[in-house]
Amino acid sequence: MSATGKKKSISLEQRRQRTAYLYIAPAGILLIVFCLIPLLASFYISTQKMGVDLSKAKFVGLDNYTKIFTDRRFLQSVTITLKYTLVEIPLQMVIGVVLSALLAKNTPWNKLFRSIYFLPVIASAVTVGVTWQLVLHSNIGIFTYWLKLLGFSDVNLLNNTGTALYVVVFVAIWKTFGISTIILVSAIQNIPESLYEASAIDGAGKINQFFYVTLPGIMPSFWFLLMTRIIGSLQMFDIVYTLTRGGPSRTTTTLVVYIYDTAFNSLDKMGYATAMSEVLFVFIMIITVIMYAIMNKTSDD
Amino acid sequence: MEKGLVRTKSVSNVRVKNGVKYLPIFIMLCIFAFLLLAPLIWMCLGSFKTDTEVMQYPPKFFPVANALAENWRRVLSSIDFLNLTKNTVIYAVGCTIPGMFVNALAGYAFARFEFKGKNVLFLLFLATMMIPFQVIMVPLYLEVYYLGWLNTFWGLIIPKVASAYWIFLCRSAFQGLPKDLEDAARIDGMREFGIFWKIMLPLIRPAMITVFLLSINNCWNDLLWPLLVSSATDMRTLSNGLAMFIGDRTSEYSLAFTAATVSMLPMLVLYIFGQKYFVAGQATSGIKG
Repeated sequence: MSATGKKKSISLEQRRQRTAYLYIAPAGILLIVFCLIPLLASFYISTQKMGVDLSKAKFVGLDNYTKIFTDRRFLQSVTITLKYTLVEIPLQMVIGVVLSALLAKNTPWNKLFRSIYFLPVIASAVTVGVTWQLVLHSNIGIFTYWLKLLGFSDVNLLNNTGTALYVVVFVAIWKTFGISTIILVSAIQNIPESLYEASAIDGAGKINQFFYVTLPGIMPSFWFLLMTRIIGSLQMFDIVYTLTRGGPSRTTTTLVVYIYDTAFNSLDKMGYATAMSEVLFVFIMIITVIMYAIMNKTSDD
Repeated sequence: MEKGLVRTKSVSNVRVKNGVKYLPIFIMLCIFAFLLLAPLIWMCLGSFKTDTEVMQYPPKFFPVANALAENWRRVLSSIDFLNLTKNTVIYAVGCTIPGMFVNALAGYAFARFEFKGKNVLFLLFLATMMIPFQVIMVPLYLEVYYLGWLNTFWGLIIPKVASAYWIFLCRSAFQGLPKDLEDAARIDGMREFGIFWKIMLPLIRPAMITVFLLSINNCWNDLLWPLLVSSATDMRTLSNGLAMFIGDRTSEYSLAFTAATVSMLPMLVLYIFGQKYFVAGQATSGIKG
């Protein structure tokens, strides 16, 4: 009697296990076929000189990798990407922190500002690219005109090799700082009210509260945001593609734009492009590990 | 009692004082909001202007004439706008609806079942979030090419259905539900799938709406993937179709204004009605770290 009971319960357990595998299977199979297999294949592809026609693929060992570091265009695009990241990230984070501190309370005005600031996030890169191309157009652009009214002459920001990258930075921040603000606002709202009350009793003013309560309180979200923003910056593609197409004179050709061009606008460089993306992958991995280490350290403190 | 009174008074004093101090900040926030919206508003207004009006110097912010109907007619006749929209809708819905189902199912299994290899599998799923798209871009393109799916909806949709991110989001939502619920249903003799479909899934509706809206928005705005696998003229989506169109004829400005405005409108409507879900989606992605 008890034996059959036990047997039955095992089979129930097994049935539940089977159900679980069954439920995971559709998503699991799709992720394996369209994510993990391509990842494994990418390592193989990076050792090939090949285009779309696989029958013409030729094994070249690590040649693609050694070639990368003597490729002037690769080094140029890496420099551009790093420059972009170094300018974009600090600005983005400062704007995010300041605005979220100002807008954290759920007053009607703050809610309105938050929804306005978030609006560009939902626009497509194409809409954003077209809009800013027109807004900054050297003849018909309204911002160009306003800048001229403010006394600037010869405003042609998008076609100027000295300014185009900074325009891309500006537009990227314009499009995404709403995300940073929202994430940090919810982090601030999760800080217990009692901490503010305690610091107020200790005589801390708004500014001191910001530095001693708000900032430490949002650190976990801050680091996470910083990590995702850095990874995102290193993979910058959409806005460059729709705003400048990498020009003028390649001054905004970021690494991923270069990888895309190499892979799909030449006949036999898919292997080489993939090798470049592996280098980026390793770089991103290193940054992720470092950031996680910092994050764990700050949350231990 | 008295203490309470004193406290309210001091709070209201603080509020008045803060109100005055807050004014410069408020004005700054307003200017910021205006600068942020100005390009978008100018673009919308641009779709009302005629070509000559757009070309006038100095450029005007507000339109004089109303050429919206004419611009619309030209957009519809010069690019196959309706077809681009149709393709985008099929891509977005085709990705999102099956995606909600398979990702919720997987998230449910990870949240509510114990099974061998659960942690390893979950880590493996999470790891897929770490892979930058451009690393798998070439192999994925080749996969779609050799499946014969280039320039088909299959190629556009199927590789994008499963997403570790949505699985993660659904899992968190399912984890928040009480255990008694499924036990009660199980005692009532309900089948496992029935418990998932009829009881658990409706309970995480807010999370599912978030997934729905964000996924639609992602697909609608996706540029790189359609650029790769649906580049044939009749298979383009709004994103890559308009990118091509703008690249081809940069001189027809009022068309560019109109096309960009119209392609953004559906997302604007989604945002106005589902704002809190968009925000919730971003907020959870921040907290999970």
